[in-house]
Amino acid sequence: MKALGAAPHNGILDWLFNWFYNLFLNWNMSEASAAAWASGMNQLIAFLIIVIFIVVTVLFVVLFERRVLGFFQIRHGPNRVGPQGLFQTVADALKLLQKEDIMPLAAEPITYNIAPFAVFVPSILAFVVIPMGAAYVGGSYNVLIVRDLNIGILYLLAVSSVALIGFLMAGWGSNNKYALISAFRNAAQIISYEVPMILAILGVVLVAGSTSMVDIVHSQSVVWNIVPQFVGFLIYLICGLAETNRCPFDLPEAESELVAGFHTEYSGMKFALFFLAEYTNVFVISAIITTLFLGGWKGPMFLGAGGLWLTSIFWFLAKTYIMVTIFVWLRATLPRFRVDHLMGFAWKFLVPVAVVNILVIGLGVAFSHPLYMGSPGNINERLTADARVVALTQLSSSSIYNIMFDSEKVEGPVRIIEGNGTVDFGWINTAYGAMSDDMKTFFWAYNVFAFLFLILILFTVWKVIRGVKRAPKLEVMWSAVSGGEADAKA
Amino acid sequence: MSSIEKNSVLERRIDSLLTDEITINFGPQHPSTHGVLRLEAKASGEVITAITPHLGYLHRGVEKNLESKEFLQGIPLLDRCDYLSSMFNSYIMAACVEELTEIEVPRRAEWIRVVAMELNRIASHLLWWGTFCLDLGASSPLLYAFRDREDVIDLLELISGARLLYNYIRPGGVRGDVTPEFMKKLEGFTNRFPPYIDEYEELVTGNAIFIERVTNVGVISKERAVNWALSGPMLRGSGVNWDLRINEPYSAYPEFTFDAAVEEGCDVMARYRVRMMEMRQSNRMLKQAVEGLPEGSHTAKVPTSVRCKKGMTYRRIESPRGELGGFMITDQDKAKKPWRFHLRAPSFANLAAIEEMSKGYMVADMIAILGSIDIVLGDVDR
Amino acid sequence: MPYQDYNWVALFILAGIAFTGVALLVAWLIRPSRIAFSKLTTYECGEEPQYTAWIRYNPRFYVIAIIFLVFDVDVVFMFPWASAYKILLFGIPYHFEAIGLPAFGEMFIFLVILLLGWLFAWKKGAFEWV
Repeated sequence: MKALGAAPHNGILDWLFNWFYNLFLNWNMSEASAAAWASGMNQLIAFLIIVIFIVVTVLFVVLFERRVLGFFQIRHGPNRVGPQGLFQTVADALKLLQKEDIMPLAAEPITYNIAPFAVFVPSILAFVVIPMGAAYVGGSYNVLIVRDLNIGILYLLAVSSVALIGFLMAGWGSNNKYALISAFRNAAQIISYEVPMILAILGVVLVAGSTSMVDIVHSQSVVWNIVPQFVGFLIYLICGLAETNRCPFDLPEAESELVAGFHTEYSGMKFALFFLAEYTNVFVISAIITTLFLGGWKGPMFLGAGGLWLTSIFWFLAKTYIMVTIFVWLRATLPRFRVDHLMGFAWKFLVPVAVVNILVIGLGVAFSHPLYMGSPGNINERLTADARVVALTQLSSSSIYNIMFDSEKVEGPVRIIEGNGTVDFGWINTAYGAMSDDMKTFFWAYNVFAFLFLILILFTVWKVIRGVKRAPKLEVMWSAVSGGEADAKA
Repeated sequence: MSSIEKNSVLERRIDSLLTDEITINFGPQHPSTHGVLRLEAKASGEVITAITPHLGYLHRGVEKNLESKEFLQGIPLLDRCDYLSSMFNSYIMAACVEELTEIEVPRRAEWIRVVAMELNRIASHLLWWGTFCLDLGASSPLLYAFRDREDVIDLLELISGARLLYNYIRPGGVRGDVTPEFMKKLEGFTNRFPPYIDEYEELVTGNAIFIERVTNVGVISKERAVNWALSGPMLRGSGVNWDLRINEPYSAYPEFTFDAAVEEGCDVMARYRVRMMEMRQSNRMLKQAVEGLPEGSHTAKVPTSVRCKKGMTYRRIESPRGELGGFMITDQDKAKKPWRFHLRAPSFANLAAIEEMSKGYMVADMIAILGSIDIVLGDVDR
Repeated sequence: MPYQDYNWVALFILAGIAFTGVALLVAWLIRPSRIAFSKLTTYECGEEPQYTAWIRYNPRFYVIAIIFLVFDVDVVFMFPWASAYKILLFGIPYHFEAIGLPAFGEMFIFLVILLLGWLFAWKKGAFEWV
C-alpha cells in the first residue's frame, strides 16, 4: 500500500519520517479529496504558520544572538527569564511597552512618527516570498510559501530598499546630529552595497533561469549554488551584512561614534520597533542566503532531499540559523569599517569582482558545465527528452516565460502545472529514478564533495577569523627595532 | 592625476556643493570619551576640521585637598586621580616624601614596588586594549581583556587588599610584605600571560580591518610629539626612545633587564604596538622578580606621622600613560602636610595634542585617536 | 493569477502596519507620561544642543549616488537577460529557436562597456570619499 504523503525515500531521514507519517497521519482519505483538502488547507496553514513563525522568529533571533554572542565572549548571556532565558526578549518587549515615549521638541513630528512604520513594515514583507519548506501532499509537491511571486528576488530587493527611506526619515526627523550623520552613512552604505548584491543575485538567476524563489531552490536540487558560485555567495554575504547594518558594517549604529545612530532620539515602543526590524532583517537576509545559495529547504541528498514538511522545514531553519550564527560570529570578531574604506571596498573591489563573477557563470552555463546547469547531466544527456523536461520545468513559472510565450500552446515534453503556489515538482524523483547508475554515482560524489566543501569553507572562515597574519610577528618587529639583540619573549 | 591636482578638483567639488559645517559634541556623556570629557568638534561632512576639548567635569580639587592632609592621608586621595594606575600615584607621593625625609628604602621594598607597579601597568594596558578595541567596534576584546585583567587584579588584591585603589605604596616601602602564596601565584601568572597576549595579537593585531583603521591615522611626527610634551607610549610611538625607567632610573628598575618599547610609525598602530610590547616587557620584569626577590624588610622604619624638612622636590616616573610627575613644596621643617602638591598628569598633556592629530581625519578616526591617547579623566581633571 | 498574488503582499503590508499600530497603541495606553522640559531637549551628550542638525550637511556621496543610479538601470537590463539566458542559449522545442553563444557575447560587450565606464569613474576620483 502506497502511503499518502510518502515520497520515494532517498535517505535515512526521509525513510524515518515517512515511517512516522504512515504510523500517525495516514488516514484513509481518497486521493481526490486529499488533493482538494491539500490545496485549500495548505495555503491557509502555510499562511498561519508563517505569521506565527515571524513573531516567534523575531523574538527568538534576538535571544539567539545574545546567547551566541555570550558564548563567543566567554560569558553566559541572558539565562534567567524562563528556561535558558527563553522569555528574555518577551520581558524586554513588555518593559519597552511600558516606557515613556519622548519626542524631542525640535523633532519633526510627522517624519519622526512615520519612520518606525517605514522601517518595520518592509522587514515583514520579505517573508512573502521566502520558501520555508516543501512536501508531497496529495501526490503533488507543495511548497510552504505565502506566494511564489514570479519576480521573487526582485521583489525582495525592492522591499528592502524601502527601509532606507525609513532610516533617513528617522535620522532627519529627530533633528539630532548623530542621527543625521548615521542616516547619511546608512544611505551611502545601502546604495553602495546594493549594486554588488544585485550582481551576485544575477549569477543565481542565470543558473535558475527564473527570478522566482521556488524555482531558484529547485535549480539547486543537485548541487547547492554555494559550490559553483562561492564567490557570489561571499559577495552576497558581505552585502547582506552591510544592508542589515551588522558588524563590521555597523557604521550607522556605531555607538562609539554616534551614540545610538538614527534611533538616538527614539524611546519606548518606537525604539523597540527599530530593534525588532533590525533582527527581522538579520533573519531575512540569512533566509535569503539559504534560499539562493544553500539550497533552501533541501537537505543534503544523502540525508534525504526533504520529502516531508518536517524534514524540509528543519533543513531550512538549520541552514538559516547557521547563517545567523555566522553573522553573530563576525560581530564577535571583527572591528568596524571606516566609512571611506567601506565605500571603497564596495565600489573598487566588490563591483568588479561581481561583474566578473557573472561572466564566469554565464560562460559556465553557455558551455553547459554541469556545475552551472542547475540540473544533472552534460549537454548530450540534456538533449534527451527526460532531461529536457527537467530543464524546462524550472522555467514554468518564470515571469519571462509567461510574458514571452503563451503557456496554453505549450506541447510536447514541457509540463506546466501551476496553482496557488502548488507546483508539481515530482520530476525530481522521476529524474532521480530515471538516472543511470553512473549518474547516481555522480550525484553522490557531488554531495560528498559539497559536504567536504562546506567543511572547507567553515575551516577557511575559521582561519580567516583567527587572524590573517598580515602584521609582522612580534619577535620580528622587536628584533628589527632593537637591532636583533634583545629577546622579545619574556 | 597628481595629488595636488586631485585635491583642487575635490576642493572645487566641495565648494560647489555649498555645505555647512556641523558642530558636534562628543561628551561629556558619550560612550567613547572614557569618562566625562567633552570634545567639541566641527566637521565638514565626516571630516574633522576643528576640535576643542573642554575639561573640568571631573575636577575634584585633589591638589588643593592634599594641602590639608597629612602625607599618608594624601595617598588614598592621589590613588583616585588616575584610578586605573593608582600604584603609580601612590609611588609619586612616597618618592617625594622619601626625598624630603631622606628615608632609606630597603631593597626588598623597592622590588615589591616594581612588582606592584608592573602588575598595575599590565592591568591598565589590558583595560586600555579592551576599550580601544571597543572604540573600533570590536566588542569581544573587552571581555577577553577583563578576563585576564581579573588575574592581575586578584594578585594585587592579595598584596594590598584592594582591587582598584590600592593605597599600598607608602613612604619608606610598602604597606605589607608579599606572601609565599602571592609569589607562587605571581609565577603562575607570568607563565600564563604571554599566551594571553599571543591570543590578543591573533585576535586583533593581524585583522585586516583593524590594520586599515589604525595605520597612518593620527600621525604626529617626532618633533611635534616632543614639542607637545607628549610622553609614554604616545612619545615612544613616535619613535622617541624615552622611557624614564631607563633614562632616569628610579626605584629598583636599574636592577631589572628590560627594553623600552619604541615604534617608528607615529600613528595609532605604533602606539598600539608599543603598549602591547610594554605588557610583554612588564611580564619579563615580573619573571625576574619571581626569581630574584631579595630578602629583607618590606619597609623602612617610618614614624606614623611622617615629617618632612623644608624644601621642594620634583619626582617623575613612567606611568602607563606617560610621564607622571609630582612637585611638592613644604614650607617649614617637620612639615606634616605639603604646602603645595602638583601633579604633572600625563593624560592632560597627551590630550592637548588631539586637535593636531585628528584634524583632517574622519569622525571614526578621531575616536580611534582618542582611544590611542589612553586618557583617564581622573588624571586629566584631577 | 500573478496579479492576485500581490493581494497577499498588500495583506502583509496591512498586517505590518497593524502590528506596528497596535504595538504603539498599547504602549500609548499603558505608558506613563511625565513631561519635563529637559526630557524634551535634543540629546547631545548631556550638553545644550549647539545649533540645529538641519543644515546643509555634506554627505560626500553625491557622485556615488549618481553612479549607483547608472548601475541600477543597467541591472534592470540584465535581469530579463539572466532570466531568459537558458532559453536563449538552448531554445524551447517547437517554440523558440536557440540563438546560442551570442546570448553571452552581447551581454559580455554590455558588461565590458559598463566596466570601462566604471574604470573611467574611478580614474576621475568618483569613488574617493573626499
